[in-house]
Amino acid sequence: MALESVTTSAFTIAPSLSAGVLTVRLQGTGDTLAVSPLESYLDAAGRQIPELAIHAVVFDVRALYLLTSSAIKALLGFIFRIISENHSCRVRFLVDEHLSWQRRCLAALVRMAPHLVAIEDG
Amino acid sequence: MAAVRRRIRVAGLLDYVGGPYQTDVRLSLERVARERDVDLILAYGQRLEAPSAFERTHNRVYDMLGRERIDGLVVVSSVIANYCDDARLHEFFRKYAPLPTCSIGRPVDGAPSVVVDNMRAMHQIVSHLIDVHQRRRIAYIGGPAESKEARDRLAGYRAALSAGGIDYEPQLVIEGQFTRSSGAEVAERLLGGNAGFDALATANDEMALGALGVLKGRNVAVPDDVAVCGFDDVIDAGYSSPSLSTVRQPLRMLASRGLEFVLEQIAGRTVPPISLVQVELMRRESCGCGQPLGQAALHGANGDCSLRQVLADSVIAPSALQDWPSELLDALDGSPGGREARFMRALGNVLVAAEAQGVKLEEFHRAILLLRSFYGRDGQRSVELEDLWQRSRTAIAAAALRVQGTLRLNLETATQRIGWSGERISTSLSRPVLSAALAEELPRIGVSDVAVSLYRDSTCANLESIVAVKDGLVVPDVGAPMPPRELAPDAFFDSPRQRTLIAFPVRFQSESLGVVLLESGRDTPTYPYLATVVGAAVKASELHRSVIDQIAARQRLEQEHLVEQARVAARIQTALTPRDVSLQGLEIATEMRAAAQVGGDYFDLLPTPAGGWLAIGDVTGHGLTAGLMSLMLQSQVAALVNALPEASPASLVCSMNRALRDNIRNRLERDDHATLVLLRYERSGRVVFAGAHDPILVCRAESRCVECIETHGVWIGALGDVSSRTHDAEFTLREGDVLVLHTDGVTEARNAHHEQFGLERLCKSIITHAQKPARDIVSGVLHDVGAWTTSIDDDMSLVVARYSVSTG
Repeated sequence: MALESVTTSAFTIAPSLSAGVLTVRLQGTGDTLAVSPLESYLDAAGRQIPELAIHAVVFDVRALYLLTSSAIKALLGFIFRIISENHSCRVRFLVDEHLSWQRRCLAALVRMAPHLVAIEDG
Repeated sequence: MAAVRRRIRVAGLLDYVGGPYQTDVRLSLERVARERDVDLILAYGQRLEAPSAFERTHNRVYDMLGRERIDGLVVVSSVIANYCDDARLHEFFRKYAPLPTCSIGRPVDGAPSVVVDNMRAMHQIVSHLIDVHQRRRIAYIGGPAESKEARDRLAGYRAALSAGGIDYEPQLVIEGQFTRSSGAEVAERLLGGNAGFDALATANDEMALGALGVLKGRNVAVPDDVAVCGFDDVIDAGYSSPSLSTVRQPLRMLASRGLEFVLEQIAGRTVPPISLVQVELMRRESCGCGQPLGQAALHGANGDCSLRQVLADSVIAPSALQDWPSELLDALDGSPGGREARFMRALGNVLVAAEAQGVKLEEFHRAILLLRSFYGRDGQRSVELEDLWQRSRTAIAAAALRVQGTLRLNLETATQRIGWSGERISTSLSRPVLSAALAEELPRIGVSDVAVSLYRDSTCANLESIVAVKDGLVVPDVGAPMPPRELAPDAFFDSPRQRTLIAFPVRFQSESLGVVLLESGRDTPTYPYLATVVGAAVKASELHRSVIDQIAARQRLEQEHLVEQARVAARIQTALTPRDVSLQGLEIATEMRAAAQVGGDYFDLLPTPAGGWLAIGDVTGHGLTAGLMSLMLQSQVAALVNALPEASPASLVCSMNRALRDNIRNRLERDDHATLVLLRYERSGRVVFAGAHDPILVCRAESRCVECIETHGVWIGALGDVSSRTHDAEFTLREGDVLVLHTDGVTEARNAHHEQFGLERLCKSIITHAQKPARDIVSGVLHDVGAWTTSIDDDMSLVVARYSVSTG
């Protein structure tokens, strides 16, 4: 569920909810092995947006070593779900300013949904 | 080949280890076997020719007996052949030839038989109802029509009616199944019918006991309203309320004589073809007699010697106890002072010895009643001894009750122990684990000798022993295949002490799995449950094995499928890679290094009169689907560029996006997308580009710095219309500038510390090798990446193009 942590051998999803803001800390390696747990988590979180009255989702990726295109695709699917289900919910990515690949990697997501998605330095 | 045995071994064939009839027979066979130092295997199947496949599966154990392990057979035909006609039973005995055999309870052509005269016995008891108790409407519950015993007893009933001048009325005669439940059911039907009756005779005690329960429940007074009598004198008959009048079959004598006959034949001596055993009419409360047991035997007993004989005949006891009548009579003789104490002491000793020999202690009631009747002829002495007889009967009842209670307690304890052990046995999911569980658990619950042998396969042609324990120790080196008739390894049978082994089929529902042999002991009645548990465990382990094999096979198939898919994807990727392509003004080198699981890297070079097009992209995912999407990209780019060589890259990207999205979402039903940047190169060095991909890198010859040119479009295939977010941008190549296109497999390659090679290192690597020919730049950069990373997790593609104004 949206508030349950997920831990694999090299990847962790640690969510927390406060005042309608779901903060999801992604840690480790977002490689092929992380895609399935990430997809499952995002599916559960997407379903619970209305019942938990979430108005913003913050993905904290500062502790991520890698985010493959398949993991990006899972995040894109989550964003598309918010759009298609008309949720009043923003998505922000918190990146490490010293890891330029993070901002560059996620920039295309912003371009896909500029009214919804933003990147911030953490 | 079976090992040479030191002891004769005889098999006994029975059904239903818990039945009172069968228990009496078993105990008698075991006693004789002990006395004669003969090994015994008691094989428990079910009834021959039984209507249900479930029962017939049990009977496979009878087929597993042969000269390999036994020297002769005793067949308790009276229980296992109820559904057999004479011809079928004869055929059954023939298959054991030339082994010596004996039939108990039913005559068999060609085999010695120990029987009672069923017809005469039933005639006797029905006549008793007519002559002594003046009953005229006598109903009858018969046995199964296939049973010869049942037919003979029915004939006896009819003959008694005829002799008593009573007409036979078919509506008063209903067939039962020799079971208590069938007796109850028939009694209900008789009571519900129109024909009234004042007596009920049954073909066996079990049916009579069932009928008694129904009569009681319907408030029919027995014997006042309906007199009841049975046949067999099973142990429950004397304890029912009212006590059941019946014909006593001396079951123990039948059994012991049957085994003796087999042993005689084994020794080479002849035995009579038919041995008739006398029955005794047990007149108890249910017929109206209410008489104590066996008083008729006293007629003619005058002297002390004949009294000793009558007493001896009243209790079925082994030869080791033959002096018990003398012990009691001697205690009564002598001075009156202390006589009661002497007698009670002697009785106590006799009871203890009898209990140890497995004698039914209740039978000593008969002895006391005989003594009471005998000494009752002497009026004075009779009065003096009355109190002694009462005390004696109380002592016998207490001893019998204690024995029954101990048996019941042992049974409950055994059942509990089996329950605990059964859990471990039944959850053993492989044969080795099951073997270990049986070897540990069965001795723990008191079974010191056990052997479990299972069929090797569905043909049932051979057994293999999975566990053999003798005297609590595991018999080593079991497992070699053996014919079913060997039952267990030779080493299991080589024992210095006399044993009785109980053989059950191991089965699961109607499937035969093998045989289990357990040494008979006080917990023998619980063995069927053990056999069931073993059967369930064997089946569970087979199913478990089957599931594992199927999963492994499916995984192999899936793996082969994936390998084939990967191979095809690799072929597609290889086929799409441009070869020997040149664009005017550009010295070009390319390379794609595929990961173990092929990804979706794509690049292409397409010359045009004005210069040419370069394309690079990366499809999400891996394998065949990614390969197909790469193929789509390549096809569309090539087609559009060919048709519109001067087109705006942004317009081509937008067109491709619509077509690709339709293909991906609607036709492939996937949600993949791709990065893609299209570059239109002009001979002048002008490059116009559009799309979204990793940055375009240009190593400037003049500054020897790498310029990162970001692509600001969106991925294709994700959105329906990307025209508002896709725009042309441009840059210009100057003499000596090196254009580098790459995929993220290059920058995301990680070292042992999870650190990415990164864009910065890529730029440095390009700068390092920038002065070299394009081919060497490619190999140099890839070498640097290779030195950085521990494994290639994603495809790496590089397109390097050095611009020259003058190169043709």
